[in-house]
Amino acid sequence: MALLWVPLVLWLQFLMGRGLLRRLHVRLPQPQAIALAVLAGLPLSSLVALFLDLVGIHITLLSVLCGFAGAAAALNGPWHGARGDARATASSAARLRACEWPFVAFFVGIAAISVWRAFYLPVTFRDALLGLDLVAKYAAAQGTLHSTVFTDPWLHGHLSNQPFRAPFPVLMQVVFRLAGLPFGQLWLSALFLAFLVFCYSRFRERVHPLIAGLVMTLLLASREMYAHTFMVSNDYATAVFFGAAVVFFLDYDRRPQSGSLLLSALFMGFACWTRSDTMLFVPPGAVLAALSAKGADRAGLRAPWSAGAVFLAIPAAFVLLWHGLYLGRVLHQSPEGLGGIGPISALALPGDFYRTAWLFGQTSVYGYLPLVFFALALVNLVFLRDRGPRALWFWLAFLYLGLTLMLFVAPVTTLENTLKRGYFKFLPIMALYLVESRALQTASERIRRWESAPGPAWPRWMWNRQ
Amino acid sequence: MGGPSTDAARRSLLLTAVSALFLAALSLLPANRAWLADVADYYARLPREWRAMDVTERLRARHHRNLAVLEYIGASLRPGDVFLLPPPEYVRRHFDPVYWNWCEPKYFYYMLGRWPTVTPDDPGADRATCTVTIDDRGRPVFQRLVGPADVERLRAAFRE
Repeated sequence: MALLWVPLVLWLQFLMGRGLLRRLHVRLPQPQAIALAVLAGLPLSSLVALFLDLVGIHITLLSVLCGFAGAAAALNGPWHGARGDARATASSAARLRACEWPFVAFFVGIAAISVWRAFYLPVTFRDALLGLDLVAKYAAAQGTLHSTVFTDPWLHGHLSNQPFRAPFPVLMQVVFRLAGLPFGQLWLSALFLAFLVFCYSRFRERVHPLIAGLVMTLLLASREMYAHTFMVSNDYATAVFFGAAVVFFLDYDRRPQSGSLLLSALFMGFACWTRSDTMLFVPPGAVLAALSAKGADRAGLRAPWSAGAVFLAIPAAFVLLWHGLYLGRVLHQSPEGLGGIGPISALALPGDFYRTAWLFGQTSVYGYLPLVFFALALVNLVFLRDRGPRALWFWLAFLYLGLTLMLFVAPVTTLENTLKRGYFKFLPIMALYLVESRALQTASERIRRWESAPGPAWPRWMWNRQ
Repeated sequence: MGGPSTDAARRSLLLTAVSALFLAALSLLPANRAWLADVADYYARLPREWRAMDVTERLRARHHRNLAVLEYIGASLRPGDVFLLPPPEYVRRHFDPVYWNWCEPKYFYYMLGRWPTVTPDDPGADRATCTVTIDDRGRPVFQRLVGPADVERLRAAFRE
């Protein structure tokens, strides 16, 4: 039955996302609009599933489908003039060019086997098995998140913090298990494919498709992150939502409009909905949003403080909904074994900074993207005297300082696990920097000029021998 | 020979060749080569996986000895049993340094269902009715327990 229900679930999730984007009057090229609708629809659907549980409706396939259909209808209704925006986005479909086919064929090959493995493999990561999928498995069987996992006395004292981290992957696992997949997980493929399409489409908007293909290949070729596209955990989805948030933040920083800010805040909220400690990066982001709003001409959110407040409030609402309302008032639970703040020694800080910087050089984990990023940033800064988009530098700095700080103060944070996977968040931002860099934009411009220049592509003797 | 459209086609062809070359060059870098070897291995496994769609088989193939031990324990449990989980250090030392997760309460609960379990340090450990020890050849042996003295004996054995 999964063959029937999974496509229906995915379709309803897409409709929810599309409806939300219409409400926000988002206008994007069609591939990006479709991909973004999927990226937004998945977490929206998890909100619907949590709402069902909150109001006491059993989470079953029927209730979930009805809830999704209701939410999709509400978001896509003909009111509020949503139709006009749909036409505007549908008009700008992009055709692939010949030079992209080698890359596209490569991406398809890489993505296809990832989808198969997401479908085929059981949940594997220890953290997922003992956390999100443990909760999901019993929630799917018992119809509520408030399952025996939290009430059986023999698990009391052994739950640790894993089952409490954040609800998005849990709820997705519940929904896809209910749809007939024995191990859930296929939602990860939807997320992966949508992110792939979104990034590639975005990159080729900024640089020549040949360069976009190269950058996308560097982003994909992170061995560790790729493994997380078919083995469920919190980290891949967090990186995807975080990356999308930074993309729209960059748009907002360039041209402060409330739509970009709302999208950025919403995706940052989804990132917190997937991994609560992402909230650590929101307050500095809110300050940056306020600074970006300064001097805005046509911003819907003119006052800097209101831009900052929006960027802070939306992610905070997601965290409060889970930790304050659901865990506190419904489950009456609090995460065990967080460990709080450990013994702090200022002497350890330089060592921690070194260890976290050392991670970037692990090509067997992240591929070559971080190294290419540093090399190209050096070229841009030293030779081209170009800093690139300031928002990206700020986000990279927030991430680096925040993650190092976590390693420094929180005993449960480890370099081998927490940080290694937390670093996934860097990769989309680094790729985004590459396509925004002057070096690659100049190279793109030269390729385009060469393409449109009159005369033969190469000396005639190479082509015509007669 | 050839007008502007032919030149455009040649340029397009040249760019396509450059794309393919770049892709090939990236695949030759050591870390990428290792990653692509993983991907090739995934494809190589595909026909075998396609033929083995049974859910239990897929679980066994992924969780190996963790699941094998739990299946052995599950076959021996009786209603009303309270299972004493051996400590992870003991299992890692005597059974397997990799496949030791089966003795974690949550793992046990995930794989076997809602069987009451206790760990040696739990206040209610004396209620345990059965456990598993590892024999000299590294094999798990299911044991029935008869009272707190037996539990205490095993606690000592687990510390060895």
